[in-house]
Amino acid sequence: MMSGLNLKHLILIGTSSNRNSIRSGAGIVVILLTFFVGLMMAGAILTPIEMGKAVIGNGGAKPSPEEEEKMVNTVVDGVRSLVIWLMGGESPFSDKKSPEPLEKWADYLMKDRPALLSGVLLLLFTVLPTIFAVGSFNQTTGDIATRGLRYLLPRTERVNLYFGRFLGTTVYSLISISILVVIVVFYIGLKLKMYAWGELISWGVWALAAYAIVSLPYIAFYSWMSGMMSSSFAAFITCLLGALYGPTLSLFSRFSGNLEMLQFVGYLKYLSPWGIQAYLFHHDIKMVIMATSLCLFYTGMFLFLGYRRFATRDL
Amino acid sequence: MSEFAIQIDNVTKTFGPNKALDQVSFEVQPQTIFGLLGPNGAGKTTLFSLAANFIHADSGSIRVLGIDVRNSSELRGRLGILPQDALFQRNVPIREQMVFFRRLADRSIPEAEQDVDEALEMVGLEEYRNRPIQHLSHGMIKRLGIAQAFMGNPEVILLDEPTAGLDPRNAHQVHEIIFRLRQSATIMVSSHNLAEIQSLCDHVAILKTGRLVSYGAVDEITSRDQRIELKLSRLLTEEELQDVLGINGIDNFELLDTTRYTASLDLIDRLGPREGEKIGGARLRQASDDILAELLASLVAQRCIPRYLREGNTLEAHFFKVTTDQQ
Repeated sequence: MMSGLNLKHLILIGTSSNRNSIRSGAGIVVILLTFFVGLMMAGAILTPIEMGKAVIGNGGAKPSPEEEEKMVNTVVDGVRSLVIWLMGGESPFSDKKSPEPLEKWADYLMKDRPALLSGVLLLLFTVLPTIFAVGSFNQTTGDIATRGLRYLLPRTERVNLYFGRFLGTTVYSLISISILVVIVVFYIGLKLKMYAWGELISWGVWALAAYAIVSLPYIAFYSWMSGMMSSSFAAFITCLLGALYGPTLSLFSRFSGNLEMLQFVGYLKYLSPWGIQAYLFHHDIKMVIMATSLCLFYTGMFLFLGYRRFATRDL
Repeated sequence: MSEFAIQIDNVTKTFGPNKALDQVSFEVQPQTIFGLLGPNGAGKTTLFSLAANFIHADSGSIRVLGIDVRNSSELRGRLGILPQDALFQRNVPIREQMVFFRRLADRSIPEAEQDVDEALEMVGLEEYRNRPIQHLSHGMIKRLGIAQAFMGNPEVILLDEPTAGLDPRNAHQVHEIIFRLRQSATIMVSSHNLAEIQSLCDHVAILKTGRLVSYGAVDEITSRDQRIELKLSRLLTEEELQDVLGINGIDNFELLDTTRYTASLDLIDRLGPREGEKIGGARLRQASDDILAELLASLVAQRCIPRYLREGNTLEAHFFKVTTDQQ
């Protein structure tokens, strides 16, 4: 099934696909969207701190360390509630009778790690699937519709076309996200001066690794949809629905109360990477390994299903 | 090593309820130009797409240079294809796209650029190499499509409708390119233009609603049927028309306009039943002469004098015969 896989072709196809994407403007839109949404998320957390500082320092006075700590604690408490809300809920990995692990997890993110950066990174986590969808829906579907792949089929194997586009899209998405994370880390480090550079950079690198892992199953799913559809619009809508599947069920799960049947519906989010992706920021390394393994499992499954369809479909 | 450049063996392909190809089989000899003909919807493009491995057959097999096309890696660099309606990347300069194609054939960047420049020069597009596709005319894009098909000197080239939509000058340029390619490759061309196929090709296959209805050397096929056109001094009466239609070998005799008639001659029918006998060109010519002599004699006897008589395009005659008569 995978015969003919050629590393050089994968690189050539991935690079060429990204270059064409930038040239057509679609790639630029993805970068701008990543920055716009990412900076908006960062702004939601950082702006209250900056405004507080500005109010206190209005008369030319510098906020005292106590005042600064109070402001940060207010925001951090808000972020902490959000984090517990996002990560909590009924899951195979949490015990609702014993909330301590969840509290411990939140403490790890808010106390052991730079709290403001944790908040920004976690908020980003919630919008990444949608950003990835916008950047990935057209991996192959446009060229299937225009039959442009027919110029490549005599020159390379379908396996190289499929996985070359997948790798190219993944690398492009990660470069966009990396630039955003670097901007956020440097902004917090330079402007707020509340955390040591070592803390910020190490947590930023961890987040990038987590984003890289979580990007794989999403982009693999979008590859599958892209290779299955012959219309870019249909692929776009399907990918968006795929991106919103997790958050929608997550919300459903949070608001379902104690109705067992509705809770069961909430469990369906674990059929997508959404259900486990937050565990990549867990304090327990075992949970991180479990989440990584599941993300890789989803990636493998989506790639297998997607390529099986692409290998046999009419192009 | 196969003795055939292309072997189509019992190929069937369906799209939903429609059978696009139904147990089609034929072979293409090496170093020839092979024409694939058929009315719209006959299955030509489907057959091309199968041979190019764009789509997969429901049953049967297609071998190019003795290799099953589904093992496309073994054919890499040996098979060039001009797809009928595939689009290039619109915003990318043509040289860059072509270099990318050559890079996939394991050529270094300088080698690829050299290959591309040579190919673009051959099709007269060297001046446009740094322009994006959207700045090229339809004829130029067609020539570019042919250039990408023969880049790297493949042994077999499939050209699907290479002159569709081209003006006569551009079509002529494409014919010249195809003739040049013939020296080094086997070429299969599909077209609606019967005169083009007759002038370009050594062998043809004719498809109708997914079935192969005729196949062979162009000379052989065109000698089986003839179409004539003649202008008479007056209209034929119904009785005179029946007399003409009674001549053995005249398939139909139809009024085109005023006193201009067209007729199809079935030379095989004229020769009568033969059991496994191969008919040479001389016998077919003799049969043609016999039918024409009888026809002229009949008309002159009625004092209906032919003002002119012209042999029509003979491939066209055969094409119309097999695509209208046979079911």
